[in-house]
Amino acid sequence: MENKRNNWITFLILLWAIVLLYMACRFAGLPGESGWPIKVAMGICLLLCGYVTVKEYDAGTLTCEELVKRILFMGIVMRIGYMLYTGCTVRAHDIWMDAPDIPGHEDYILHLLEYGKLPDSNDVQLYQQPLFYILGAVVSKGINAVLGAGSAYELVDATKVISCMASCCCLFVAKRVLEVCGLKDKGLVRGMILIAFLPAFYLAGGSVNPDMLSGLFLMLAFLFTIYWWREPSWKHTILLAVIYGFGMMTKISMGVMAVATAAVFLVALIRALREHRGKTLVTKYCVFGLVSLPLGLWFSVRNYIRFGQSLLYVMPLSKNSEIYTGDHSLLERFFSIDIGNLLKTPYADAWSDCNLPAYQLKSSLFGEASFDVGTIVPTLLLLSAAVLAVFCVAAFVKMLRERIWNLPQKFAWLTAIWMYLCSAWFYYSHPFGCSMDYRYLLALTLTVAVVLGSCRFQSKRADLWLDLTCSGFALGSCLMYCLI
Amino acid sequence: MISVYIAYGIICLIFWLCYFASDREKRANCSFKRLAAYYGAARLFPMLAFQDRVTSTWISLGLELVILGILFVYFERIHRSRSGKQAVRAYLFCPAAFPLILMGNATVMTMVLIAVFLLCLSCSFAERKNLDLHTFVPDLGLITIAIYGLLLVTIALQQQLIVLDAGCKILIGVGILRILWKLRSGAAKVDAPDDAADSVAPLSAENSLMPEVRMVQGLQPRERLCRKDVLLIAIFTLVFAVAVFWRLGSHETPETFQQMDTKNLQTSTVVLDFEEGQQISEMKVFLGYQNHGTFDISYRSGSSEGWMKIAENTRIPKVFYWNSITVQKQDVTQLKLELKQEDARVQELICLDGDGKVVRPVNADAYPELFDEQELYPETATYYDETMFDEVYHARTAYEFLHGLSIYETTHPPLGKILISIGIALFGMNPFGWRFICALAGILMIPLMYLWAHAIFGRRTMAVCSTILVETLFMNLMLSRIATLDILVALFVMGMFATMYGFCQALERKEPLRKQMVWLAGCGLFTALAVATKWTGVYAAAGIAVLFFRNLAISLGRWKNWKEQASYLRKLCLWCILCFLLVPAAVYLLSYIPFTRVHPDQNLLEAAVSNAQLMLSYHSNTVFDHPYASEWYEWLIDRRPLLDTYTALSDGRISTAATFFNPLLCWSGLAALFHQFYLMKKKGDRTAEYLVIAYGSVLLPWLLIHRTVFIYQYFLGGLLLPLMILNSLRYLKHGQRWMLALSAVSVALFVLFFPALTGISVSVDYVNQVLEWLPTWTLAI
Repeated sequence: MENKRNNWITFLILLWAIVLLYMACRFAGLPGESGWPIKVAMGICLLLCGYVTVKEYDAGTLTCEELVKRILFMGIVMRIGYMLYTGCTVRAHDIWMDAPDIPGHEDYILHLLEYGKLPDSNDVQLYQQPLFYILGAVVSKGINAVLGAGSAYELVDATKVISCMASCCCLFVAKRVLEVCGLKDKGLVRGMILIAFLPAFYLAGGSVNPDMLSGLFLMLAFLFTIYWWREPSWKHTILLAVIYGFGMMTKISMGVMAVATAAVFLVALIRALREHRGKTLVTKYCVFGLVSLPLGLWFSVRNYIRFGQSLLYVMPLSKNSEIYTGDHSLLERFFSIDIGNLLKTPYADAWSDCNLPAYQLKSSLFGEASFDVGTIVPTLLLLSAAVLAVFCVAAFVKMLRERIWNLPQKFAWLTAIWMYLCSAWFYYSHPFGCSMDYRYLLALTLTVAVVLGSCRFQSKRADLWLDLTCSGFALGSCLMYCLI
Repeated sequence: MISVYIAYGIICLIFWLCYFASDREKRANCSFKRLAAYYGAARLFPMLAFQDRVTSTWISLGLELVILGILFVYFERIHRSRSGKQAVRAYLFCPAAFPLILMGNATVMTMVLIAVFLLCLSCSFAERKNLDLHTFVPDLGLITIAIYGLLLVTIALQQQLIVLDAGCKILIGVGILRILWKLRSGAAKVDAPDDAADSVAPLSAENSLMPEVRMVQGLQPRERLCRKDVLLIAIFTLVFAVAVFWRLGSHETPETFQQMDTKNLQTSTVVLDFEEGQQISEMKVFLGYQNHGTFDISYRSGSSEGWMKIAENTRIPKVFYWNSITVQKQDVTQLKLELKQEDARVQELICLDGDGKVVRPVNADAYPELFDEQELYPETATYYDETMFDEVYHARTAYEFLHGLSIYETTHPPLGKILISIGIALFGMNPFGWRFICALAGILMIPLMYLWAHAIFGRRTMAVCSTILVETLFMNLMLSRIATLDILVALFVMGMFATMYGFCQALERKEPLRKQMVWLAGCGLFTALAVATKWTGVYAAAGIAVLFFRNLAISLGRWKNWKEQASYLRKLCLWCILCFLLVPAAVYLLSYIPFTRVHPDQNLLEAAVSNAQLMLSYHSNTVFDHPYASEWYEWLIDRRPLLDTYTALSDGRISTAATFFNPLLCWSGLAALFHQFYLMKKKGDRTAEYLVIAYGSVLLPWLLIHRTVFIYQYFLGGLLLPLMILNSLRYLKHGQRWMLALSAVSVALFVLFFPALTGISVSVDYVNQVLEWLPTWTLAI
């Protein structure tokens, strides 16, 4: 109980720290041109942490638990640091778009701040579910009231605090998930390295859109589905329903995870029916539905009534668009790994790339941007990520062959497959470069981390290489995002 | 340049693959003869394949001899392990070494010299510190591979491959760090010196010259051919025949013609009259056999008095083809077609209005030959109705041979075209007629492959699988449906390899000379036919020679007193001269009979020699840009198919046919190729050796040829891939299951790609989204 309270206190302090740091930077006129003071501060934090860790390792006093804490700390530093030195229009998506009359995410927030109500249209980005924008508007109002600022840019920029908070929370949720899945020691460290240092989390944490918040809800849903499976109590049912409700209020793609939870519900129901205790469970399902559906779908129903917008609406793009990839073969898009593309440049290019695996790998590291930091660091990051991906596949195959999983692990890899198939289907039905972006797949990282962490290679050499790759990945990620 | 980099990379890869597959004793075996062979393979051959070689590259190669000398002297005389030859061998196959020579820079070579010198010094230092040098080998290997990659990117590819470039630099860094770490941590220290490990096991002269080679004749007992096999052969042949003959080509094309020549005004001009207000959008000209004519096209409208030009000096390019001329004029009363250069044989003229409907001129009766077969005009002409790709040369020349006309295509020996002319004689000068013999040749390859595979593996299942794989190889279907020489030469080359295999088996089993002579006679005949069809037959003949002498040498090595066999050898020698020199020469010369009919002033020998000179000059200088041209290393991965025909149909669909390989077989075949080297070294598999030599003989010459080439030139090599795949699969635990699975997937792919091989009308989306697997595959324009 004491431990739980401490966790909550740490958590709340962290959230406050994010707000305060953001306000402090704004007050100090940062990030400015390059945000170098923030990067230097990040570097010092990371170096100090690294130094202490190496010292402890040399002294033989470093435990895996301690190492995980250090990783958490570094992950938080990277997320907050990136958010602080990145303006809301840098490496952004659909914000202050080319023409002034095209409403992007900023219009949504400004409309909420100005009129205190939801948008009256579903044009372009205004069709999005509202939770992120509402939270963002509230936080922005508070921060800007304290700072006494009121330009459109400042009002919108402050909302990225919500994304950053979500990104940091993901670390704690991920740690809990990995523990629940039975990972400990090296396995937990490896899994946490993947979550903590995957740049997609920094990028999403520093941007003004609902992707990171939605990712957090997906992870929470995964965690609470496992909790619910272990103990289908009223508390867990209601919590899960609320998570789904808020998750779908953030982004409708939360429905992807709902299928996995529904499968768990179904298995539980079949079991209960066999044991003649299905009535209670059905009642819980009804309550689950009564809580989650109104919360999650009210906005979609509103839009359906007002604009005739379908429940699974996605903003349509033209076939004549420059990022259309439907004229490439399915093999080229889905069933091959474009090695040539991977060797060409570390950065994803929505205008010319069409290969899903290569694009997802690249966009998980660099988003859809390219950076002026030389070639060695991005290549190190890309290569280590590629090798980690190979290790993940090998671990998955090994798990399948040896059937060495517990139930949460099995749920994790089944969910991973399901999520990946959904992303592939989304790209199939919306064949555009941007549909491949990893920011829609953030929660997949969690399930992949479970797979990676739960595998033990018999060969010591393979184990050593995996550790080296994880270290290279962490090093590349930190270097990259401290140098840009 | 990239070609030679890749070739050298592959040579190194194969060497190290064989090296690690060999046992310790064989690894240490490195005689001077072998070293010379290695030098030839790792230096001279790539150097000859290097198109841009200049004096400075030769000088660099010369300077390298100094480096080799230092290495040899240091390790052989000074270093206590006495392994100079091994050090030289390792250097020769060091991936970074040859690209540095290609730079042709003396400074670079001096730096390499210094690096080698430092390496020797560090070896002495390491020895004094009691370090095990072998522990550094993987790191040095990593560094040299990375340097090779770096040179490949920066010098050969000259492309922006940022990740590859930086990745190589990172690998170099990793290699250096690992070496430093090993030095610091003492991981490279030798615990207890093991003199036995350092010493090289002495090998007898006999062993070094003639390593023991085991004959692996299948891992299971051989099965004899029986009725069941005959039935299977018949079924497979029939199935493939259906695929080949299905919509092979039209039986009818325009036949009557009007001869136009520039000397006579009356015959050089065609003036067509139309009713007033007639709209003409397009003209279609079906050209006969003669050279592409150059025309002026003009028209008169009702309102104007003079002739107005539509097109000037328009070249109508293709023979036996519905050539299109855009008119796009309203109110045409007269249309004039005036021949300006060369002669032309026009077989039919079609005028189309704005809706694409045929318009018959008012005065059509004045030109009866041009308008008497209008019903033969297809609404949209596809491969089915006209010549495609190189048929414009070969079909036409076959027609010329048949009718004793002047010969247009002289860049290949005549036999292939003589054979094509048999089809024309039987079925007429139409697509079916000119494609018939090639179709027949393609079909005949099926039973031949079955029998050959049965002879190699001695198992029905494997013969069946190899036949299925060959049937679904893609390229043989396409080449069977087009009147070019490649399928003919492939049939003959396959015959050469199959009969030589028969001879080798007869030799191995010590069968009577008469039986061996029968195989050699067959092989000689196939060689004659192949060489007289296309010169690529000569490459295969070189392979046959290597196989012959290699197997003979092995047999001679087994005989205790081979002098007793002198009589046998004498007879064999005489028979070979007859089969492989006299018969091919006779067939080759006789194939020039059509030439002597056209040029009575030349005898057969003169015709053959003058044509050979022309061919040599043509093929040495044929370098041009072509969208479907590809290099040999692109063939290995099926990178760029050749689009033979493409037509956009009126209903929005397309008809397309391309020459390329089944990607499954091409890619798995490449893996199987490398596996053959492993099998040769590790298992002593003679079948693998046979296939590798055969494959090398038809592929390696292309590394030395720098003309513009296409993927179909790899067809002979591609035909051997199914056999290599099966030879590899039979070593697997569940080999038979794998073979059947592979065959099933191959058949599925064949069905999937069937439209792109045969020109069946199909939607563009299907081709774009399902069939164009690689970005370089252009199956729909």
